[in-house]
Order: sequence, then structure tokens, then C-alpha cells
Amino acid sequence: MNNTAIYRNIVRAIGLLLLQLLVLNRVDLGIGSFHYIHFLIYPFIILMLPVNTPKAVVLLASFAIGITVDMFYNSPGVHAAALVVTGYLRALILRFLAPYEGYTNKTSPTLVQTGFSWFISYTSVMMLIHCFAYFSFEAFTFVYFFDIFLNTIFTVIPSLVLFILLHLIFRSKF
Amino acid sequence: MGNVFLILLRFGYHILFFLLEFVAIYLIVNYNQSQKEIFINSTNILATSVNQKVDDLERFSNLQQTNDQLKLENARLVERFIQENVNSTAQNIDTLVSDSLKYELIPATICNSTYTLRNNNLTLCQGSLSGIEKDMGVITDNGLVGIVRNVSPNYSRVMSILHSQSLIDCAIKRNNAHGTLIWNGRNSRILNLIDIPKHISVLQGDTIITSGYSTIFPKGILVGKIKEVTLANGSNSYDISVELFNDPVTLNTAFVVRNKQAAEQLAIESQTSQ
Repeated sequence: MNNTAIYRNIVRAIGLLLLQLLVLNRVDLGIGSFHYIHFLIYPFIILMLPVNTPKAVVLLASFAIGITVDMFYNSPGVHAAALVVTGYLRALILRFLAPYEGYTNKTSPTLVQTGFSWFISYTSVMMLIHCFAYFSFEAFTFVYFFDIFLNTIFTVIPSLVLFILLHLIFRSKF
Repeated sequence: MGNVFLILLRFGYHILFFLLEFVAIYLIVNYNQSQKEIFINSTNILATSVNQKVDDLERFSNLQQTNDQLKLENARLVERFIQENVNSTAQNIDTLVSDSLKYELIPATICNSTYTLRNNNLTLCQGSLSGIEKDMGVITDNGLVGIVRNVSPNYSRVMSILHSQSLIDCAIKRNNAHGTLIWNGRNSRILNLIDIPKHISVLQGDTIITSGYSTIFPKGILVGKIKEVTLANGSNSYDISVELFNDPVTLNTAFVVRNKQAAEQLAIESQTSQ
């Protein structure tokens, strides 16, 4: 990971956090009694870290970002717990989805560097993990499993669409 | 030390994960109201079920001790009941004080007994070491058991009220008429009250209590109720069958009554009768 990559990741992190905390935090997408749609864009900071980032750094970054989000969402620990799970499982998923020839040193799992299909499968799996963990920690019991399930589905899809749109808009920056 | 470092290097990532997860969950549980409630509730359910199991086990192992304790407590309660009976007839305050010390109950376990013979006896697992002496009465909280005939250090032999030699002075609670309670050997729940003269009114259902005229039983122990009253032709006294309140067949604990003034009473009685 060279200086440009660090710089890019920091800029991306700040941008996504600002978007999440100052804009999406205030968006209410409830339609009548259907209140399952949420935008969770901040996990992409962890998702887009270069493949060869030290695992411990990923975990610590996950915790730090989670706590930051929690401060604004007024839910100490919930986002952090979910994002640490996501960061922990990132290495496993990356190994599982590794291309035949392996990752190069410079690879970041972005849309530009990887193919569209690989990107979709990677991000959707990771977002499913994150959203499921997040809503589980939020409910803190599996009694409401159906609610957790609906929340997960209706959060993953819009978040993914939003991120891909952002990705395409800021293509040159990534 | 080197090994510790190697382990950290190898598993540090996982340890870090669990550490951060722990911190996050700690934050969730401590600073979020609903999650906190769920956490407390769940841990309560878990802890309670485990605690209950341990408690059950502990209670089971303490069963003997608890039993002894309860017997002692019962003895104290029946003692108070007897004291009340004694005191209600006493007018003098000095008598009250001395009377309140008159009877002491010793809890005892019945280890052997017969009920089907004409002359029945019981064995108590307590003897002279527990303070039991010959000629003490044995009662339960709602009935009579018998009279101690013989004592060894650890056992006592009790003549049951279901015995041909058993003659116990009893009274009808309503009018304090005295009679003698005997057993005719047929039914272990039915005893006979004799020697009640025919001029006294006796009704079916009257309660029979001990009279307290002997040194063996205190006054006012419930015995049973009158089941049937007959007056034979030419007889001067009733033949009354009394149904016991307790079933002597199913007993396994009893109290031995210790009358602290028995010796004194017997001494003065024997002096004057000459």
C-alpha cells in the first residue's frame, strides 16, 4: 500500500462518513408502515481497503469507524460490533473469492480494478453479513428474526445501488 | 516468553477481533436501554435456571438438617399452644411465669411401630441422651401417640394408645366432663371414652381433649371428636366412640412431652394419699 492508496482510502473514508452521518442519517425512507429501507454506506470504507492491508489494521479501522457512526446514530457499540464482524470476515470472504491467479500486491477490491460480477458478488456478500450483524445487534435477540431478515434485504440492495452510483460518479478518484 | 509472542503473532488477529467485539457489546449493553434490558433478562433466565439447579441440589443435601429444624420449630409451636392452654386457666401472674416453663417438647422420629396387634408399641429413635424419660407422654400436633415405657440411651419404647393397658384421662371440651380413653382393639381410628356419667350432656361431634389431670399429658391436646354415643340398658355411664384427629398408622414424627414439675406433683400426691 503506497502513499497514494493511503491517501485515497482516507479521502474515501471521510467522504463516505460525511455522507452517511450528515445526509443519510437524516433520510427517512419509511413508506407507511413499511420501514425496512435504510442506507448503510459506511461499510464500503472497510470493503474497499486494499487486499493486502494488515488484518489487524482492518479490525481497528472497523472499530474506529463503527464507533464514529455510533456517536452520530446515538447507539453506542451497535455499528461498531457489526462492522468488526464484517472486518473480521473480510479476509475469509476475500480468500474464498480469490481469482485463479491470486491477488496482486496493488489490488483494491474496487469496481475499476476487478470485474463487475466479482465486485457485485463480493460487495453483496459483505453487505449481507454486515446488515445481518447490524440488525441482529440492534434487536439483540433472534425473536424478531423475520424483521431482521427484511431489514437486511431492504438495506443491502439500496445501499449497494447507491454505492455503485457513487463509484461511477467518482470513478477517477478511486 | 517467546512462545507467548508466537501465539500472539499467530492468533493475535482473532484475539483482537474478540477484544473489539467484547468492547462493542459491552458498549451496546451498557448504553442502550432496550439491549440492556434484553441482556439482563436473558442472563437472568440463564443464571436463574442454573442457580435453581444448584439450589435444588443443595436443598436435597440439606434435607435432613431442614427436617430436624422444622421438627424443632414445630415442637416450639406446640409448646406455645400447650402453654396457652395451661395459662388460660391460671389467674395468678406468678403461676403464669412458672407454668410457662412447665412443659418442654422433644422432637422424635418413630423408627418402628405396630398397629395391627391387640397391644401395640412404638420405638422412637431418641432416648435418654435426648432427655426422654420413662412415663413421658408422646403426642403429635393434633393427637396422642402413647406413653414412654422404657428408655435406652438412643431409643425409647412407647406404649401406643392402641394398647389394652392404655388408660388416658380425657375430657369433653365443651363441658369439661372427664372420662377415660381406652381402645377396644377393633379400629385403629376409633377409641372409646368410658366413665362419663349419664347425667352429663354428650353430643355427637363434641371435641375430646386431654384433661391434664395426670403428669403425663398437658391439658388441651386435641384427641378427636365424638362419633357415636350409646347408653346401654341399666348402665350408669355412656359408651362413647371417639374418632381420632390423627391417623396413628401414618405417623413418623412425634413430640415427647417433658413435664418439669412431674416429680414434685407425684411426690405430694403420694404423701397425701396414705
